[in-house]
Amino acid sequence: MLKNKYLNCALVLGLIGGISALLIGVANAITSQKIKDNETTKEKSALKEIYGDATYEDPEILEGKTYLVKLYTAKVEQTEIGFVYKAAGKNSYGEISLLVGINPNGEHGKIALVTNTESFASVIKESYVDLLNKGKITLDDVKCGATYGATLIKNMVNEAQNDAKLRRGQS
Amino acid sequence: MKSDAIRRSEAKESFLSGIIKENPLFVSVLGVCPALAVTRTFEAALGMGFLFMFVLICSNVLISLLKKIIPEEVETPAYIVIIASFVTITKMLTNAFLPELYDSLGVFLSLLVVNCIVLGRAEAFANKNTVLNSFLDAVGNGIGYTIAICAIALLREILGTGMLSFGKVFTFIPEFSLPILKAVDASGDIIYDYSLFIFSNPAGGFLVFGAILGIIAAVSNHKKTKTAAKKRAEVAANKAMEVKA
Repeated sequence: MLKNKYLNCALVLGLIGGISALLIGVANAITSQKIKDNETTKEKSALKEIYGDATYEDPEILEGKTYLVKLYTAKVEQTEIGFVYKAAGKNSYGEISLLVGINPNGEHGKIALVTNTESFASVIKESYVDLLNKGKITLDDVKCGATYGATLIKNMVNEAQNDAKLRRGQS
Repeated sequence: MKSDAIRRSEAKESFLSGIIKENPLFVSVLGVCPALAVTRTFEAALGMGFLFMFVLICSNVLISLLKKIIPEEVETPAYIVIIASFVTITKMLTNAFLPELYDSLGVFLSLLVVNCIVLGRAEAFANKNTVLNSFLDAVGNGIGYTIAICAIALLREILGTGMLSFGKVFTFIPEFSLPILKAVDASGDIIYDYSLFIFSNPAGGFLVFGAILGIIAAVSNHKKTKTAAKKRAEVAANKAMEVKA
């Protein structure tokens, strides 16, 4: 009797798990390509925000880094004008992925958010990233009302700056 | 066997109770966290309301369909798996077809998995009632919640930004703003601005929510006092009649 009860519970949970897996699988099949396309479109428009008149070759895929995912080299008439790193990270409040331009002097240029699902998403954008892009604050001014999200961005940008310095032999 | 009239009355009650009489947010005070977090703009709140309704309808219907085979011991885990599946599907569909809405709702879309209204309706209604009544209950509660968060968002956006903006989240409609408390001329200079930024912050959400709850409590108390006074007058009139007789 007891065995039957446990078996019954296991079978029902297995059935519910199966139905859920099937539904999620169908939804994934419908949406995965569209989500990828959306991300590519967002990334392309973010690249334009950083170095508007530059052209980009295929990105270098970065491995073994904490946040850095890809590296684009921005060029104008075959002359390099900067690096653009794609970085992604998460904390307890959500996920952020962004593109950050690194100027030839090793300092960061514009930052463009690609995804931002943090619970304080608008604060991070308006009180940190937008102000950084306008040059009104520095990277260390993370106490903006969304300190953890801003610190995550700061760490991503620092990693990009350090990687760019290593590549250019500036360290 | 229930008569058609009883069935119809139950279905009507299932649908209507969640909208006003047992509004999940304003009467039962459930689902407050997302209600305060996503009500900065009217469009985001409307989007959240529709997604919430979709998850609630799907989970209520499936739970009602499976109610006879789910053993009592594993009810809650089974409900959580069902709700989490529909939230995952909703997230995927939103990310694919309404990416701006997905970005603006952020982590609060995922948090629907642990939303007490969805789990509450599953435990309190869907596992005891027919599929049709569970569907109507979900639609009613979904409409009630959507109306409630949209009311908060409408006030917060007007008071916090001075304007009502459209087309930023639902990008399939052209972008435009209705100036209400703030007006800007063609060159971008502010003509007048009576907005208060605090209403765009979480504190503003609490203030607006508290004010609406206060108004609802005042109206309901006024009604109760009026009814009690009417009853007292009736009793006194009856006693007077008895004394006369």
